[in-house]
Amino acid sequence: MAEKSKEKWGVANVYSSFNNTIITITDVTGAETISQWSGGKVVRADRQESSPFAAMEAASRAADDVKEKGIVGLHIKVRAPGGNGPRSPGPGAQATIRALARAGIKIGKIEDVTPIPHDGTGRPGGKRGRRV
Amino acid sequence: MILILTGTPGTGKTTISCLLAEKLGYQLVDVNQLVDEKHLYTGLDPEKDYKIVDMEALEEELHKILEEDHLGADSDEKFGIIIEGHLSHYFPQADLVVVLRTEPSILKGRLQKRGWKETKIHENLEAEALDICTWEAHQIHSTKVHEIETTNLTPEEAVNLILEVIAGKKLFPVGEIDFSGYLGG
Ligand SMILES: Nc1ncnc2c1ncn2[C@@H]1O[C@H](COP(=O)(O)OP(=O)(O)O)[C@@H](O)[C@H]1O
Ligand SMILES: [Mg+2]
Repeated sequence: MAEKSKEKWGVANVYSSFNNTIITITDVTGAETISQWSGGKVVRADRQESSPFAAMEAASRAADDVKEKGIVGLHIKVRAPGGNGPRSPGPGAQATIRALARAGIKIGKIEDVTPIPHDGTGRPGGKRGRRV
Repeated sequence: MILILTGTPGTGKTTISCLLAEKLGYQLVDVNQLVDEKHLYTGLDPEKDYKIVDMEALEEELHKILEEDHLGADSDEKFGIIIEGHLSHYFPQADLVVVLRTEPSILKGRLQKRGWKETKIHENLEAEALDICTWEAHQIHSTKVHEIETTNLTPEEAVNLILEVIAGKKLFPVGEIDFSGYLGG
């Protein structure tokens, strides 16, 4: 227990759009950005930046940065439309989380914080905190 | 012809659909107005400051409007309706779905004019950068969905592009627009 409390954790913000996946690692307060990678940064071809491969590449670069900072675990905040189910995250998001875990990073709480377009009206929310 | 015009708030749906409905002589349904008039909401989201729409009731109401107006029309050929609003793409019946898109940094200026809270503006800009409306529309309507970016267009120019899509002269399939740079990508 004592050892666990000394562990350094961070937050991975995973953004997955039609064309790209972006991963931004911050400290637990969200104030300091530790690392930022995107599919577009790690693959050459434009057409590939949205692929799960690009997302996994981006995640593994982020994992290297994270480990270098002595961070052992990440809580995940996913912003991703699409996927198979009506509100399941995009393939980029799932690939990112898997790649982080495979790189030896502990995965903590996974939260869905996908934005909802709204003006004077909006659709029901309440999907936050659901399991991914 | 059932035309759905959707997109993140501020992308120009109301402005463009008014012009379009006039040009085509189509009936226009503003979903936000409909929700207000028929009380198609279950409550308020106090944090985000919006009416939580009863999505089933909205769909029912739109079906009713379609049935009534279809019967009232002289022939199927003449019948045309535009359903406009950021929730319009949830309606499963459509011949064409147009998603209006605007570069988030430009959209920000349009939304700031509405006097909204910073958090509300931010959530909409993220939604635009993540292609939320496009994703949702694509899941429901697949290849019927086209995306038109209005960032550097006048409303009239946007209307002309939509007319070309309706006429089958131009295609704007989804996936060409990438605003991920706004998120740091
Ligand atoms: N090309 C364009 N198309 C539509 N609106 C535009 C365009 N360029 C600027 N605007 C402005 O953006 C705002 C869009 O508002 P509105 O039509 O109410 O959007 P929405 O109904 O999508 O929330 C208007 O003030 C309009 O004048
Ligand atoms: Mg409007």
